[in-house]
Amino acid sequence: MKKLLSYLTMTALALFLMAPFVWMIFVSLQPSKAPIPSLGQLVPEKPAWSNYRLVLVEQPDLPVLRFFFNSAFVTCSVVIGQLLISSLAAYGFARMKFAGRDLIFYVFLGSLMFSGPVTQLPVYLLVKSLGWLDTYAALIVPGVSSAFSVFLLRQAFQSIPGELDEAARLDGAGDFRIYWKVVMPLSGAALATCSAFSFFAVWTDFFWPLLSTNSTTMRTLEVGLSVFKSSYGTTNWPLEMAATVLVMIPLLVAFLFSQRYFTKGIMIGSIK
Amino acid sequence: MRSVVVFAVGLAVLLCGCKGATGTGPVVLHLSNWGGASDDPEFSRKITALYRQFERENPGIKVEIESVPDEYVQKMILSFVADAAPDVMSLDASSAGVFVNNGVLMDLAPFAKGDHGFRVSDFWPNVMAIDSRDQAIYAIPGDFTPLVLYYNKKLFDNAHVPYPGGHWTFDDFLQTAKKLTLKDKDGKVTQYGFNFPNWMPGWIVWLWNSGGDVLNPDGKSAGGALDSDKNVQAVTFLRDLVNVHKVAPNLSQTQSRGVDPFGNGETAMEISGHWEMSGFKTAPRLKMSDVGVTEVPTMLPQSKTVMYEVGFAIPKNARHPAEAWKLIKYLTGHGFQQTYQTTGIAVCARRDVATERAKAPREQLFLNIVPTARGPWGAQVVGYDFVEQEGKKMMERVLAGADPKQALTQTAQRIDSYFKVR
Repeated sequence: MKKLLSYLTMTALALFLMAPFVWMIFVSLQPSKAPIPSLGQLVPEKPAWSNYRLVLVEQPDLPVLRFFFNSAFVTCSVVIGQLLISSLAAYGFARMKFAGRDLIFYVFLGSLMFSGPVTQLPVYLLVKSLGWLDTYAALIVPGVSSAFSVFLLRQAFQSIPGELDEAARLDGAGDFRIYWKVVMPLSGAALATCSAFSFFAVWTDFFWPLLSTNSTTMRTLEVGLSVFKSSYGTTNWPLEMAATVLVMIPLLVAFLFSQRYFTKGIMIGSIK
Repeated sequence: MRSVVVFAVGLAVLLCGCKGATGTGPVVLHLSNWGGASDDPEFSRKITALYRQFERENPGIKVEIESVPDEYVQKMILSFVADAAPDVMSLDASSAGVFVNNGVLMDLAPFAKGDHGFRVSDFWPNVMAIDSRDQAIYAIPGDFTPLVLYYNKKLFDNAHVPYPGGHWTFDDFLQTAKKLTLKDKDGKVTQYGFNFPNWMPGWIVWLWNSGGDVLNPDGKSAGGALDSDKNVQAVTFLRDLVNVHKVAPNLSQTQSRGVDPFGNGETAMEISGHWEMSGFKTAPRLKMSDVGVTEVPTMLPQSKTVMYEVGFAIPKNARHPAEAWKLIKYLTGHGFQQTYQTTGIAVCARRDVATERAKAPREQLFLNIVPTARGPWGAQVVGYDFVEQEGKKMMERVLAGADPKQALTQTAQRIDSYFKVR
């Protein structure tokens, strides 16, 4: 009985949370330019699959495949780069002893308190002075350091017994070898969690790619397809929703593969 | 371990490789605009072909379009701060003041004077004036639109109401809107007379036509102007259209439809700009031949309206001003404009193209209205976006039941304290 109740509640909650996605898909299949349907008319009589063709193919100014490539390339580069750099920093914080270590770590944590827009202007100026505007470097490099990942990985590394390091050290391993051969392989879950978080953050980022790139060929999917949300006149909702579905599909796939790490990630900081 | 090194080296090579070509080569002109998806792929191809033609006519110059689909003004401000502005910038009149008044744009008057192929007199004088200060010209207008009142002839015919034409008062308008608001047997409204989105760049014309204004003539304060009795009358009138006479749908009704109700053949009248035409052309439930255009109702002897314009500007510290001027001349020239205006997006700022297009009677109606139109405050005043945000909130409060006089007074105070600290 108790089980039944909890299943019922869960199902209701799941349906409630899924509703916007279902709505999005149905609206994306309404005829182009149709008004937002009332709930009774949500399911289109004849699904307008051509909306997807309109978004994908029939916009001569929108190289959608290129957007896909940019998003995928940038996201993968940031995820890999962030894992490497953050894990190295986290190793330092977790394993090495040096003066001011905790202070520096708290400064790191403090940087989490600033919301993105506060740092965007200085980062923009920096990227500009490096001559990186409108390049992949602008899209990738600012993203490879993440205080959140450093924090998460430090917690994970601290939970690995120090005796393992000592054993490796007796066998002649240096710090880098311990990091690469001992600590990293034992932190799979934390690393996967970090990748999942940064994957989602980078894939869905809008403002930074909008600022730091100018040419159409450098646009990511999120920015490139935002043209359907028109700032002049009225938004063509079916096309806008078709574009949104296209942006979301890779995310959904990624989420299905990584969802267990999301839930794990929430616990990582708490277990020692 | 090896894979890390390979990855790092690979990334470094890639990043350096992407820095972009520098040195001698063609001059690449970056032209910024706010993009937007095209309903007409054929048109996009034609425009691209015109840019390629410019490149053929001007060997050594390449044009690259930088469209910014969102937050255009913010991005442009930032790019000026970082000295990364485009070579030619599309300048929207509603935010031109920020750029012109801050002195980041080049005065184009010397180019205009020194170029025999360019005549200032080709353009509508009051349109050219929007981005000009005294003798200085900060942008050459490409196109513009006065706001007009659109009406659906078919819905007027169905209700046996004569078409509006020429001078009409707020009350004439209200009576017309009442006749065009239809209900079914259960008293449910099936058709509204008017569409009132809470969009201040649009409803400012009601203030102007009641004899009021948003800011004082010097553009430095709102107190005494925004809270004037005339504006109270105008705002009360607008509120009553929705709340008392119910001839316009309320805001949540409009927003939940997600579509322009006039363009969808559901309301009989709306006030908007020429850009609607490009949407009307492809609207499934509105025939172009049913679209009528007339002037905004007024309490004054002569109806007034606002006009929004798009011009092309060159940043003050541009790297290639001479080439940029060539591009501007091309973009505002007869050939380019003739093709560009076929979308119906706006009225051409060149009088020759506009007059050619006015062979269609409806276009002529727009031209008749041009002399009564004036540029928006945003072209003159820095920070006018704040005024428009506050105006929108004010109207929301009034529609929700706040007293118009009080709401206008509070808003004027907020604007004035913002202008003081800004």
